[in-house]
Amino acid sequence: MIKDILFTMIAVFNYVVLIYFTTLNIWYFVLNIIAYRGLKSYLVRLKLVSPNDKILMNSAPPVTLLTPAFNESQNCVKSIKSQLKIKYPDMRILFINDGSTDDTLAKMLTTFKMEPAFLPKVSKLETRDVKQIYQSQIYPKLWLIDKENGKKADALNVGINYCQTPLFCAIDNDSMLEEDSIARVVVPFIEDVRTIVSGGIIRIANGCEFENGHIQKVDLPKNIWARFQVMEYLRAFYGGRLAWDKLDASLIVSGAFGVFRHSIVVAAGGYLHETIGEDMELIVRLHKYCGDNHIPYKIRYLPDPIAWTEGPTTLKTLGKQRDRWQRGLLDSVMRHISILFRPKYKKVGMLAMPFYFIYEMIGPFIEVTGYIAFLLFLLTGNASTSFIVVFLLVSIVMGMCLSVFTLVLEEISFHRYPKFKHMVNLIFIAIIENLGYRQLNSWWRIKGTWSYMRKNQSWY
Amino acid sequence: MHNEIHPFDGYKKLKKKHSIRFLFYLEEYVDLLKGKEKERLLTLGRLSLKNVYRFLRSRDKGKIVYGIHLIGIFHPEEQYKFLMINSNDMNMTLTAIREMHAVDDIHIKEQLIRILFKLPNISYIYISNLLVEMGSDIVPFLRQIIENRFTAPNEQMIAIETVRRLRNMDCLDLSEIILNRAQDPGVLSCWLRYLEDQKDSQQLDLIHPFIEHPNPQVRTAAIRVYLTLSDKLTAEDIVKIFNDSNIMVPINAAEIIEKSSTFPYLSTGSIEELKWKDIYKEILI
Repeated sequence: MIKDILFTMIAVFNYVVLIYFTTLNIWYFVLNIIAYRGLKSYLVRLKLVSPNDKILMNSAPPVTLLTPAFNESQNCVKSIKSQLKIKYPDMRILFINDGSTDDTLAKMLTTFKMEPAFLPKVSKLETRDVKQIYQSQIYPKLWLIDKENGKKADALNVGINYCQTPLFCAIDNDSMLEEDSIARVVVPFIEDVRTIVSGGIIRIANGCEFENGHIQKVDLPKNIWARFQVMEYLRAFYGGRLAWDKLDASLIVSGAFGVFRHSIVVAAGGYLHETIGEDMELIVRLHKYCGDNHIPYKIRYLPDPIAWTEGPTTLKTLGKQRDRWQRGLLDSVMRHISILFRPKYKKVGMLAMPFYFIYEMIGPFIEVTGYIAFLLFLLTGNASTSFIVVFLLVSIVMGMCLSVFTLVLEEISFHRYPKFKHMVNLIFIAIIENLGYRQLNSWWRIKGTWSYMRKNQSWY
Repeated sequence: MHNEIHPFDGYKKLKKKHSIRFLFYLEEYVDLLKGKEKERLLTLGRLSLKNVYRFLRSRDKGKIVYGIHLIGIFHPEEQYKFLMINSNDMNMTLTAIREMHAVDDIHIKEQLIRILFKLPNISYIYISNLLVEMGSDIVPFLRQIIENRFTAPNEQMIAIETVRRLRNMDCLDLSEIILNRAQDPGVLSCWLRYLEDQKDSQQLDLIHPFIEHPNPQVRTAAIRVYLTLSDKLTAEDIVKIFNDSNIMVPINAAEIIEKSSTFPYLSTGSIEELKWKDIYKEILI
């Protein structure tokens, strides 16, 4: 009797999982179609209006690059040298040394011949104390703020306080921007006065060749985990963010590369200190702030401004990164849960937040328990052939199709992986990532959720 | 297409002559050639215009804009006929207008300016950039806007900014009208920037009251222009400037003083390092 009830429960749950996978795939399919349409019109526009266009760049607003760094002795000089080569009419660089305990500060001061200088504080976000401000004697546009340690959000807030330009670009110290990335990413600000945030695509730098911080040759990483991430990033940026941008409901602009309107970020209170996912939290808060104050706004994502970043190469570090991302996501959604299903916040409240809530927060639990239930169903001989076929189709084969579709989007648009073998490799990755890697990701996200529930705020 | 191939050799090698691809090919060379060679190339291009009209009749917005782009190379006077204003896709409309900015007809330019002014949410500076590219012959039209459109401050701002960037002095005589009648802070600060650029010291008396304007943007612009045009500062003025509640006011004042050869040197850093009395002493002694 109990056995029968148990089997019935498993069977019912299996059908729930089936419905979950089906709706998830339909969602992704719709998002991919929207992304395709968006990409098509963007490419037409790009052919007619290049980012170096005279008319656009005549009015290029000044931008400050905010680069927070903590113990980045190995990367800091390379990273700043790469930023100095960015082609943009009016750009300043603000390197924020967040109380590093290694020789980051000494390296910066000597390499760029930095001397104490004065920079007026233009906003008053609450931060840890600033010790000293320096300006480079070789590159006058390069500034350094030495401050007490207070984590990334605090360092960014210090940068915002001393940012003298109407726009600022938050980037990670290990991100390498392409020469025209800033020129491309500020276009929405020039064209549309409502734009408050604009973000670009992040691509995996592993395997690529760089010279003086600039990409020379694009190649796929040798490391299998980094290869999975190439596919993952392509799918997230092409299939996901591009579509959400077209729907005017972007909830994430990567912390590794995003340009913000200074005034609105200050008005909304800057980055939040006590969160692990400060980038997503800020975007959700900006949606809320603009919605509450009836400010017309646009948060944009563009597929062609590129920042290259090194992805984790070991299972352990990758797992920790995903754990952190999940905690950040949960924190951002839970802090602003009041947006959920509120028509006042338009598509963000009615579409994007419910999507993230159901598929990104609860989804991993349904997926992992679903696989377990399916195995139980299979092992006990209760699963019919048609059920097995449908389950595998919606849980795995559809995922493969969506990944391959993302590759099609990459091929018809920017085609950054030039060789035929790159495409063959990526198609192979698109297929095999659904047979283990995706499930592993779900497991890391469950772990992340568990850590979040235990109020773990650590970076690692 | 390869830059080393001569356009006519390239033309011979093309399988589908008079195709859209051919037009794109020609486009690369049209601006590089002069005189008869350019004319020959344009004549060859006109042979494939029927393909362009196919683009212009398409329902695809992208193809229409392409069509407008291509026809602009060979028959620029026809571009305006195909401009479609699509309120659902401002970007496409704007792109189409961009394609036409170089048209050599003042009436069409005026029409384009009117359309640009009606487009919502396009940044003023971007519109002004387009207007600058249209050239100085639009200045009389812009002057009319500056003089009469007090009910549309956005249009006035764009017009003033454009005249400023065209370095045109024909509108300076409107100073009294603008500074007395304009209420919008954006218009006032734009006009003050124009005066700063033109270095017209006749206007000092008109500018002085704006140093105390309630809007910080106007105050900043007024102080910049006042300090640029005059080396006479009263102690009261200095107190007001360097004790201003908005940090951008003293920063801008210090920047101008730093550049000035008539004032004693005062670094931007002094804003925080010195009290206003010290600044006063440094400047006046």
